[in-house]
Amino acid sequence: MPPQPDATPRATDADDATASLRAALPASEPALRSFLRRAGVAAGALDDVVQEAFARAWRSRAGLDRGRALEPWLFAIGLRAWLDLRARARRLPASGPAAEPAAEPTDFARVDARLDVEQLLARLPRTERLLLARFHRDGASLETLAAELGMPLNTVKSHLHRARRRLAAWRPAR
Amino acid sequence: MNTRSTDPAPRRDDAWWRLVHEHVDARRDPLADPRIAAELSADPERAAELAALLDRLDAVACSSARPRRTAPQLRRAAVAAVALLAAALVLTLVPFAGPSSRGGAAPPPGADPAGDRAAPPGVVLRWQVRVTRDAAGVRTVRELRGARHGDVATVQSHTEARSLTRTADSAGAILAWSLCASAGP
Repeated sequence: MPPQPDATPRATDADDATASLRAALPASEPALRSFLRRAGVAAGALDDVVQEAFARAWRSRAGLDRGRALEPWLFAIGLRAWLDLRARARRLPASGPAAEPAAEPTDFARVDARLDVEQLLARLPRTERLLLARFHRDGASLETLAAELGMPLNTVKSHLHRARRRLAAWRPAR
Repeated sequence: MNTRSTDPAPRRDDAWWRLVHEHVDARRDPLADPRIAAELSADPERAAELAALLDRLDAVACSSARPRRTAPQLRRAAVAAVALLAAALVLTLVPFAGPSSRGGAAPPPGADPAGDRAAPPGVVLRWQVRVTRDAAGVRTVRELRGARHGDVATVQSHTEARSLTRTADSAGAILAWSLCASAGP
């Protein structure tokens, strides 16, 4: 029985991966846009993120394993591209001429990136807040935190995981 | 335990999220894991949650190291500001009182080379560290000095303060430092 054609584009062979990807990427654009929108990317940022995602996908096409579905790979690249754009905007100086045209669509990230971290952290229980800041902001290792707080390593991890889940689930009041 | 949080602790703790946490614990990018990526495309709600998490963690990572100040901290900050002004005054006046201001004469043989740079009697010079968002540098400074964010390391002489400051600067972790003076030990 011949194999059934798969609706999901796949990289089939290392030799023709480039040609395959060249055809598959444009075909994946609507799905990528839809995914990114549902993942939270603002409409004004979508074009930039999609373009960046395609550029990254093309550059890292050698990393697409044979037989691996294209879309999850591409979606993850798109999400990472979006997060990187936001991270880059977050690290830009808050003052100066570059920060002035904040209302422009291309400057989306700088506006959104002004997350009130203190407000966010203040909602967490003290231990979780402390661990989150020490691990993610200060770069302290889990072992260091366990020693500092006199907690077992797994307890530190549990607190951290819970704190992250709270962060992920938090919905800012708009 | 702080009870201000009104957000219930999320209950979902399935294998996918555990995998995400394992990556984050190891400071790896969860999005680079095909198992995580596969789930994302099937569940955009998770994609949104994971994106929010990674974005907020990045915001935490580049947030200011300065903790929220409570009233006692504000009082300490006010004291530190006064001490800073006193230090500025001392450091401004010390060169005029030292040998260099009197023609650059060398100290007499046998004199303590740091003696004329030591804090005047009744004044404590302090090396105040304000750590930046540079995590690697922060770690280095803490390892070197055992100091934590916002800590003020007290030293006995201007010489030691300058030495510590150079060390801290070379670690690239200090945005702002200052020598403070306060009355009495």
